[in-house]
Amino acid sequence: MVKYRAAAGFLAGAVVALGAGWVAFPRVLYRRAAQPLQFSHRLHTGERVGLACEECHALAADGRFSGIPRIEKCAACHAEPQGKTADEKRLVEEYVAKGLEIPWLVYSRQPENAYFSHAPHLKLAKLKCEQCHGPQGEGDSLRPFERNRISGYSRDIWGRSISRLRRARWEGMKMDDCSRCHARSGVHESCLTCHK
Amino acid sequence: MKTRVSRRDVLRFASGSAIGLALSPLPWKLTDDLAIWTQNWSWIPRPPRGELANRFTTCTLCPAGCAVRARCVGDTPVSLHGLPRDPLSGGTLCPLGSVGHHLAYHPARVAGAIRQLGRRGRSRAVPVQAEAAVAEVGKAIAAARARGDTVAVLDGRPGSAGSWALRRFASSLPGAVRVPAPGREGRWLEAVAAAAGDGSTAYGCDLERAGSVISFGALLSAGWGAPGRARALLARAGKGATLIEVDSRRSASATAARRLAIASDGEEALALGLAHVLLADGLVDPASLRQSRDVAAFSAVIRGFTPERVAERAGVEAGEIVALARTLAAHRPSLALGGEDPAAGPLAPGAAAAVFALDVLLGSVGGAGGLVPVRPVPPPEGGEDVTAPVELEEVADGSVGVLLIDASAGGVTLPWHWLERKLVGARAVVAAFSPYRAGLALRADLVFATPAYLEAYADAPTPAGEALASYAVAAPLLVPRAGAADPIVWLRRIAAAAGVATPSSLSSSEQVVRSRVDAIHRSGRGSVVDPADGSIRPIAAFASPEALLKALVAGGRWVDDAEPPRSAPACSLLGACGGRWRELAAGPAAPRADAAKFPLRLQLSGRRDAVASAATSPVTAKLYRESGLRSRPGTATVNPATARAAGLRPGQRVRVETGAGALGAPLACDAAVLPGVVEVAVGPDGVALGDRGAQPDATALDLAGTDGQGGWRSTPARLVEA
Repeated sequence: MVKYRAAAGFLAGAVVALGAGWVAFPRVLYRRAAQPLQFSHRLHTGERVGLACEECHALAADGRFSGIPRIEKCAACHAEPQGKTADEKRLVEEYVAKGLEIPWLVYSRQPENAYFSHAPHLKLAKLKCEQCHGPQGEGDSLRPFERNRISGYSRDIWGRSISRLRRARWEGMKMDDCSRCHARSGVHESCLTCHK
Repeated sequence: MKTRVSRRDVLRFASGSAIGLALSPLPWKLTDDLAIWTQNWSWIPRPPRGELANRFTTCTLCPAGCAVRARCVGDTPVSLHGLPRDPLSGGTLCPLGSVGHHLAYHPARVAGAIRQLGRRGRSRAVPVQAEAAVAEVGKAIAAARARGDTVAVLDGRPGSAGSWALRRFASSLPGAVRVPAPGREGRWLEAVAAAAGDGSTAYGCDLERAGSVISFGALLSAGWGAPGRARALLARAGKGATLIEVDSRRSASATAARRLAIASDGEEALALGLAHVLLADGLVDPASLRQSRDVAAFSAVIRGFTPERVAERAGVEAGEIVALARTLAAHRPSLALGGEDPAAGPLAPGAAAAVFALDVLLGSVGGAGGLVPVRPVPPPEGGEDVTAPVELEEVADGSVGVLLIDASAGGVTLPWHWLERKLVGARAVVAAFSPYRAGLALRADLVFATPAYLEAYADAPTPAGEALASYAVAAPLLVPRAGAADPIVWLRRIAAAAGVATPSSLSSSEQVVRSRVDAIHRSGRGSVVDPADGSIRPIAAFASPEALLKALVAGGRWVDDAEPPRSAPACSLLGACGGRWRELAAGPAAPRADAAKFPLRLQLSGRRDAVASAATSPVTAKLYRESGLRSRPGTATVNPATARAAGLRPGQRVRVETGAGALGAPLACDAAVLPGVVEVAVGPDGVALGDRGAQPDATALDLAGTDGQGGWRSTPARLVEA
């Protein structure tokens, strides 16, 4: 009896800690925030609209990436509501009509001390968007943005998996992930290549 | 049944929790996030985000003048890169150059003027009104002139735009002298110019056509001169070209250069030993011998420098000296190059003369692949009528009433006691022009703020050793910090306060640059290389000086046309060293009086990136303090045998003592350091790396240069337990 009681106390502590570490901690660590509008990538890249990624996420001739599309880009098609959803109505009334930019929360925003250039990755390495950003273009809605309460980084930088185990190949944008890909591809790198 | 929770239960639960937590991601992820949190304090400067654009400019942090591509967000540079098509740098950018855009934000930046109170080097700073500081220095100059004291201006970067203004200032002020920094690169070549002919012709090194190069003290592989040329030479090594670097310090690089380790201060003996073999074996160039005025006298002196006698003094086996001389004779054109070390300073005059004599015997003076005449970059308007500089050694001790230190272009490597002994004493006033409260500026009574790198116009005239004159410009990419002014502006204000009229020409660095570009355009010489695409445009293609300036501001580099070949000039092989060499040849030198007290030799080491600027980015702390890629500043490194003989262990704290003072340092052992030598790296100190409170009591430089040999490459020293 005494032996079982000793084991039970130990196991109870371990179970509580494991639960705290694996389940509660990730929930507490990340603050979720909804995107200002819901938006379907699938609709825009599907047969009905038929846009390619780079038609909105434009690239300059030298490969420089201009990031999230500006409101003029949306206004080209959405000067009038294209549907009857509440989000479509808000898009037109609150942003397009007023000429205001949509305050998107960027999943893959790199930290201030890192400079990432799309140009060499797209032009020289010929990477596809999905290789780093995953199947963003296939979603019918935008998932909530999750901000790390301590570091302030987006959860996408660490990756969905709190343990970083069993991740999809595209998940995670930490320095280790960049370095691993560079090493795999035989790309020489130094600190000042990315850190300025 | 009642269940009571005992203390043991709590401990069991805690143990389980601890193990459970360790098996969860919580501690590891928390550590990672907290580490990131500590990197994101609110006061850390944040580079702007936005559209990127490339600007082309020139690094002026050291005399090499490497071409730079600055990646800018808006007008702010966020990263700097080398340009492979630049003929001088070949794409090289050292660690300091790579973080040059951080220097404007360095914690040791000075605003306006400051007064430093307390002991020089261990002072505290208080801000003062710029006008009051200017008036104080002006009054001190007037008083020094009235007393007959010297006003000395230490020129930290001779040849640069700022230097021309210092020349005009010194020329317009009776009793003032301009003292070029004694450790400046190219000092050996100045000695060559003085020894070969009448001194009016400057010389460079034709490395590109040299079959073999032996360098004494000028570490080409570590970037002496223009780093791209050394790289090209190293690329040719093994395909017929040979580069031998003679040095008494351990090598920090693994390159194709052959490193010949010699005894401390062994350069002079080795050069003379090589000369002996060349003469004895009939390997000298007959044409050059005919040009030499004192061959017979030199041959008589050099007889005493047999390989066997030189071997002990130089620390190289006799057979190796013979083989080396024969290699140089067999792989002509051969060039013996003397040079300056960023940390250890210039070659002693005796060694410098011996290396030049070796060049004469090898037939390398004036010919292809040797020392070739170089035309100077045309001077700015009014640049010709200035008084000659005065070497620090020629300034009388205790004679300087006012010392003005121009450290605006970078760090000035010099033992402070060399300057201090020139001062008249406590009444001397020392003022420095510097962007930072660091380096020599820490010794000044008053510091006047100057713009940091990339904040003002600067130029990069021909680096030491170039075979062709060149000129590049760095236009400002950043707005200067409030209160910072061009050193020329401070000097003019000080001169006015002293009641001295200064000429209106050369009133700012920008004006000097413009004036010099005008002169280059007028000369009609040379071409402009665009490092961005490698295209070359002759000077005639530029319709006006403004068009030329525009091209240079956009990163272009002016390179002079090649000079037609000239015959070797008449010269003296013995120079001023005949007496000294006769004494050396007569037998072993008498032991130094302090040999028992100081049985070791202190040697300083430090690459250009470590000493070229008084401040560097805190980002490079890892490189200098942790990586092992650079010698760790402030550590005394000795051969294990030296440590054993002194009864010391690695890791122990020791005191390095010389005639100039003492320095506390941890001890490290490295078999690559020669026995009997204490090597201390002169590198970025705590202040340079951003720790404002880390003013050292003494630096390794302060201990060096006590033996009166005209340099600070090797200093008698001892190690004691701290």
